[in-house]
Amino acid sequence: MKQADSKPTQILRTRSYTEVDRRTVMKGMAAAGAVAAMGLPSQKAEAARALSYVGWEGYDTFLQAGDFPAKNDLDLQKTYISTADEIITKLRLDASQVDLCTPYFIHDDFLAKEKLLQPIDLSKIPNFEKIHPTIISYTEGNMSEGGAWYSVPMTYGSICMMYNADRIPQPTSWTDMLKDEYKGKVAITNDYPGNLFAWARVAGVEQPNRMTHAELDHVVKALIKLKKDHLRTIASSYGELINLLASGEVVISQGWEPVSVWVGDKVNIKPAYPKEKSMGFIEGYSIGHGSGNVDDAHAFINNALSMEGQLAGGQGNSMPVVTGEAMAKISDGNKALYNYDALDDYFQVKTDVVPMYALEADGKHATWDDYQEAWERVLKG
Amino acid sequence: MRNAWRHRLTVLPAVVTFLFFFALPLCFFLVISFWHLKHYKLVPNLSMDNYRRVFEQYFDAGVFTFGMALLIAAITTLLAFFIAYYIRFRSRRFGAVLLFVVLATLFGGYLVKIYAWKTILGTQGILNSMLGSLGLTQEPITWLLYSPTAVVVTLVHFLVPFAMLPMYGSLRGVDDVPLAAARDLGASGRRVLVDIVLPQCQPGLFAAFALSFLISAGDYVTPRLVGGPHTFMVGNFIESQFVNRLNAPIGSALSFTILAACLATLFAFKRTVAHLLKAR
Repeated sequence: MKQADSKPTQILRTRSYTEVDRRTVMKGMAAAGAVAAMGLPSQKAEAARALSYVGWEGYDTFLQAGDFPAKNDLDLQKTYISTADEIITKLRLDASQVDLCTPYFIHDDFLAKEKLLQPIDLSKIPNFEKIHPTIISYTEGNMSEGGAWYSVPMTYGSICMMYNADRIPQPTSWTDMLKDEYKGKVAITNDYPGNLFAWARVAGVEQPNRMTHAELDHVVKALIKLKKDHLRTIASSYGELINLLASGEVVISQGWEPVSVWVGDKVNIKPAYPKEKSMGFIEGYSIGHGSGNVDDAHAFINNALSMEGQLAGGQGNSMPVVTGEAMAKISDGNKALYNYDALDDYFQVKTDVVPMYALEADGKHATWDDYQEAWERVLKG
Repeated sequence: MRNAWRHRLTVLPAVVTFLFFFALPLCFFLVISFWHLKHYKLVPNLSMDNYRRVFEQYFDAGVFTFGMALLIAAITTLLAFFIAYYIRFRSRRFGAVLLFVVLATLFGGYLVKIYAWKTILGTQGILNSMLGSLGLTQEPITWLLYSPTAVVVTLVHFLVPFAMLPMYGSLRGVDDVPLAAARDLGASGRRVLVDIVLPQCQPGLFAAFALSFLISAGDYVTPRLVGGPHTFMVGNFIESQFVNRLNAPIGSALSFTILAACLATLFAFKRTVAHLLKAR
């Protein structure tokens, strides 16, 4: 969805009163030239500088906090995505047209190597230093390459479990979804990395993003069984998952922490972290390689890491924050959901932050395309 | 001569638009359907490998999609015909009102209709609540939503007004005099319908069927939103190839395979209808 907030300043209604011939056109052009020569103010000079944003809906809240675009004569033109992979498509088409984006953090290395992302100039983002050291330690591997950062973390989360606490006890394992009493009341989302991670861990795979072909086949079979025998549906978005949980169609699902707040007070939906762990992720902002608005893009990112930016994004969207000062100041509800005092526990015990899939076939491990093909097999199965 | 050129010039914008925005992109995708992907980049090639993979990996999904599309197109065409027939021949002075009511549903957006059906068909939805309160069901019927049934119901509801337009247009062209003459000569209602009405509205029948069949075969939003875990159609996989897997060559090969199969189906439909309605 493309949002264009700016409206044309004038609408011309045309009606033909005279025959349009070469002479009339020449007269018109001469008149227009004369007006231009008199120096009418250019509309372009007056317009706010437009930056394109390609990313998840809600992640733009951090960037725009404190009326940042209006105060700086900027206009953030947003294209919201429905899957993280869409960003790669947009960058491939023309990275210079993407001023700001939120790539899936395990893709960052790959995108940097493909020269689709601009190296981040940390001197232009003084708020980078405020990022909690634990967050830095878990993002460095994916977000930096050859000493340069290509993405700047702004929030994190995990593809954990969600359950209706008024109707069922807290699940402790992904396999709880297979319980007979939940048959037809289970949902997952269309998030293939999260699904393959979860059921790989159920299968005992230590490194879900480095599965062999045999392990991947085993996981596909497990997911097809889950789909055939237990799932109500595969939610196409978190919005749909919220509807499913709110309406009571579903009592247990795969999900993401903010869903428990977004769903509202009418149902008691809570996140749960299964013993097999959930797939953790840390989200960041990147700049498309060759962007013509590099300075403004850096300024936006810096604003997202300011106290105002972090609190606006964290509280407005019920997402976690990444700077130490925001972690201290954020609302009690947000602190209760994310427990910033136990960040290491979050990234070590509850979740696993995974590396990128293998890009090249080595004869043993499944590649990124194999993972995507595996998910299609689940959908077809 | 000058007039001929003037006529040609008037259609020039349409021709240019068609060439640039339809024919050229189509040719581009046809060409890259023979290319392949290496390190997520397009590599020019001339190989049928993508088409082979399409048959290996998507044959079942294709058969399912065509089954669904045929069913939806058949129900839509039938419903559209009967509504159009009623408006044209039976409704008398209410015809215009009925036509307006049917066409007014076009103003409801596509997604609005999908979400409306979700509200109606869900386990906590209007239909299940009604059945439960009437004592007709003890438990909510779960297969109404997130099933192929839901896709058929939603798409038929969406497509009927579109299919009705060409159908009504064809039926308006049917002259009343031969109908009255046939009835006066003792022809039954069925005979009048099969021997006089249907042969004359063949173009409308074909347009209605083609419209509903092509839209259903290519749709990927409805199956995703109301189809549940077992109703993934080819459109979903074309989208996945282009958007998620960044594999435009296989996405294009899949698209052209479906396009060819759709054209073949429509050709077969046209021939069959012409054969069945052949003058006796």
